[in-house]
Amino acid sequence: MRAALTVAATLALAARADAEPLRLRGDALASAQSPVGLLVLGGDGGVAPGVSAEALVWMGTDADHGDALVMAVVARRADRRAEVRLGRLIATAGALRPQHVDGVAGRARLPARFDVEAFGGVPVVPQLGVRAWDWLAGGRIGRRLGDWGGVGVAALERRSQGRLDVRELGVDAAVAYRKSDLAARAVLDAIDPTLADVDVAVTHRMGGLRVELAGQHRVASHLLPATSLFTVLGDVASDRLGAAVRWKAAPRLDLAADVGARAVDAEYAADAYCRAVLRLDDAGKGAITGELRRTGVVDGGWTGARLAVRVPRGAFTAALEGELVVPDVDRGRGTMWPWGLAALGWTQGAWDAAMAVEASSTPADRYRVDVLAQLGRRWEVP
Amino acid sequence: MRSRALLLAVAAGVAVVACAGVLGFRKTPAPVFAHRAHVTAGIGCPRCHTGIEAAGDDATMHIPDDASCQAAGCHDNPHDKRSCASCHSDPWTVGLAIEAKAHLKFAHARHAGPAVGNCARCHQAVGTADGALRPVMATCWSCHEKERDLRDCNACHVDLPGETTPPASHLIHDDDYVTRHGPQAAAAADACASCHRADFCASCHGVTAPTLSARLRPADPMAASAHRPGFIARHSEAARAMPTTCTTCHAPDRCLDCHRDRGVMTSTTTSPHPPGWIGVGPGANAHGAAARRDPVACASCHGGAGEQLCVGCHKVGGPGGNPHPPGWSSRQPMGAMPCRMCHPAGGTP
Repeated sequence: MRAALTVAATLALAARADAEPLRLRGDALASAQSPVGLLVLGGDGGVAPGVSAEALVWMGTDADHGDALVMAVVARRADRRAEVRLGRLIATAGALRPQHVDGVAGRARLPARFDVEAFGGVPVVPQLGVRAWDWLAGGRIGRRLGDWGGVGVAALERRSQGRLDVRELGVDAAVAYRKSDLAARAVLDAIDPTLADVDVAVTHRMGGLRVELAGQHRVASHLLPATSLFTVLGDVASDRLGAAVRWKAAPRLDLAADVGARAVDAEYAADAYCRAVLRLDDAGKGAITGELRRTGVVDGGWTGARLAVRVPRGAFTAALEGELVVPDVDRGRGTMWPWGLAALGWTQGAWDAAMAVEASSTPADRYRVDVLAQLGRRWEVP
Repeated sequence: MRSRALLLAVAAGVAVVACAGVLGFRKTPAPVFAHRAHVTAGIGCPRCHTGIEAAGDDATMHIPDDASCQAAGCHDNPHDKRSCASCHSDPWTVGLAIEAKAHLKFAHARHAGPAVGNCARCHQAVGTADGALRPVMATCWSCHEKERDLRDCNACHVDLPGETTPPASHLIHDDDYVTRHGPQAAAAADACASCHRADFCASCHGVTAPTLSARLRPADPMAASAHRPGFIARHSEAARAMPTTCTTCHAPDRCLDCHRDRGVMTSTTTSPHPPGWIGVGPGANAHGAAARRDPVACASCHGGAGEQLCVGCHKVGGPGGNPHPPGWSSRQPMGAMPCRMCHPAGGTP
């Protein structure tokens, strides 16, 4: 009921559209297995000059299932130098983890190429729930370096029932030089001073070849609220170093490969995948992709293959997708986990629909067959 | 060995030649309009694109038809009864023009003055190419530098996020990019927002996401999604291989909620953990290493009550001993959570 009211309120707000067209989209998904039904409604558009609204709400068939994913009003200057968002939104600020928040977020471009971002509010609780004394606030100050880079410093504090949950500082940087670019972020956990999260990626392009080197360091306890007892166990960091290559081997053929090594708790493991994507037409509407993947980890490694085909014919699209995973250690959960989906889609004007049959054998279900039906429609109100 | 390698190379070459059309090396010949021939013959653009110099941003397209070709006084005696465009043009070019009209705010009338009637100032390829001559964005920016600096996409684009076909000159992410976009998104979130609305970010990072985004598009197996629907079969393997990654998007209690909804691990009397998970002595205490390796996984089920469960053993004098590792220190005040669970008086227990 609350979700229905949310939809009604959102649509009533959006119905005042006058500056820009209002775009709405509705999707209904039904399946033979639980959960059997889902209705997703989304929309965005202008409600006044310089003011727009965006919302995405959903309702499930269970009585207590329904929520708002995003529901925000955005006001911005005509030259986009300043913007304020109010409502339920995703707040991002440089290196900090994105926060789903009921509150306000703003961004301003200052002179001398400085940018300021700030947000605050109440962390989202599912089912439109409320917890007392929960709040968070954060922000970022950044500076653009010509048109070749930028740096920023960010901070976040989050409280749960008034108690300190998260306090972290982040630094981000991005630099582009000719055909190479570097992007990095680092987060310092200020409660228990630790370099908790580091991500670095260096990319170089040579014609149809793109090479990326990436490294990651992450401390698990940093992701937990500071009030959790698990933060005092003295956890081990997870590190990964890898390289990815993507090659446009032919106008319609892309090849990609990724090789990496991971270290967790003095154990080392390698992972890799290779993939080929062949487009069946110049626009890429039809395509075939095949992939082999290996993830190695002690007691949890697996090897898998995936094949997917999408073939459009007029208003219809046929799709076939399959995966086969072989775990290193089955532990009584089956030696192979196949999964497959065959679908037929249809698009006509503002309508689109799809019917699919999904079959799998997973550690949870020896056999599982599901039938999916999806119906979507777009509206545009001038 | 050498002859075998040579044979393989020849076979690969033959395969590439045989599949040249499939791979896109040899395109099916398509008729294109001979723009270059007309320009080099001294025929000005407005002679065929009648009224283009005064055209506003309205719904009228200025694509010449058979009548235009004849009215210009050049082709008033066609050699064939069929439409000129059926052989001398391609629907792709017209489609691109219609798409541009729908996606861009543009009035030729406003640009004819600054360009001083020189169409080639923007349509730079007209002297060298045929077919579609839509300028690339870099050409726009040669004059509209300010919009570029502000990233004011709406200055030209009607609905950039709604344009489901990104221009070829733009960054197009492959399907693994979604799992490693963090560093790039951190430093250029506004660039991401040029194309992606908030609900795109929220579909993974939102705590109220209804389902996998791929689940809503079953007929598009190429759609970008953090997980394909088949991921559920190997999610525990993925969590074990990449501890801490799950919680980037999922709240720690997500595991328990989903397992409860699906009827997995509903028993309160049966432990889901393997033998040797907990006990006395180093040989039967697998839970310790697992907890240090991925404490978030433990916290996903053992929330508030779980913490009480831990400190039942892990206390000074208890069978688990001091839970802190050697050299442990914290700047947390003793009276704060979780310290006060064992240090109620704010001092040594």
